[in-house]
Amino acid sequence: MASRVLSGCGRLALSGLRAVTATSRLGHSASAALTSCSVAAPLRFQQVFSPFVQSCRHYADLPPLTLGSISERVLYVLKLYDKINPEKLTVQSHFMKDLGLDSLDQVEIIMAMEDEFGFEIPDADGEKLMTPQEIVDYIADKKDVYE
Amino acid sequence: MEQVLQLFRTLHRTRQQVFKNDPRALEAARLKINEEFKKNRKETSPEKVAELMKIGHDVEVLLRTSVIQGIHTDSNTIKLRPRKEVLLDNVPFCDTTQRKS
Repeated sequence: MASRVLSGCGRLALSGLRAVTATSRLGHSASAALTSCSVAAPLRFQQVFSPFVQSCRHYADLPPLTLGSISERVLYVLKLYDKINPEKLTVQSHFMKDLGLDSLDQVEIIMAMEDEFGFEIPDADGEKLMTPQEIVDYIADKKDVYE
Repeated sequence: MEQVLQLFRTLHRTRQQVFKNDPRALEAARLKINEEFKKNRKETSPEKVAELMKIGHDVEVLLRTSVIQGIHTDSNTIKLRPRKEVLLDNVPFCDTTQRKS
């Protein structure tokens, strides 16, 4: 009986030793992981009891864009532009063919969109945008808005 | 053609910086820029276009470097609102290249 206990102890000690060598071989990362495990446990506990911590974080973000809100803002900016007749304006109307604007006006419109949405539209992309719908699609594409 | 539109865009951008928070000057400058571009829209001779482009660039530089905003704060005081471009440092001459301010 005693011998069995002793051998058992020896086996335990041996396995303990092996475990120790394993950790020392893994080095700092293993021991760091061990300590972080022991620290993380009470932290996780706290979060379980305060679900508000996560849900209150908005990181000072603007409300998310949707296709509808983009379209609304684009049309709003266009209506304020003095050379566009608001009655003739639809999402499909072509700036030059339907609304009688020229390339200079179109540049001004694109600049107004840059100011409204707060990002720069490169010249090469800007000159292709000829209808409100194209502007909406472009902004949705750049801002990763899908439906 | 692209260069003309780019100049037009640059002029408007500069206008927005220089006359910031001054709706009257902003609108006046906008109308003036548009008017000048519209006036010469039918220009076809390359020399004339190049000359006009030169004027446009000069105007842009002039606006950027020599216009300064002042606000009437009191009956006899004007508060200046300097921009980065018009501020010159009083630094003694130095041969080595300086950090861009």
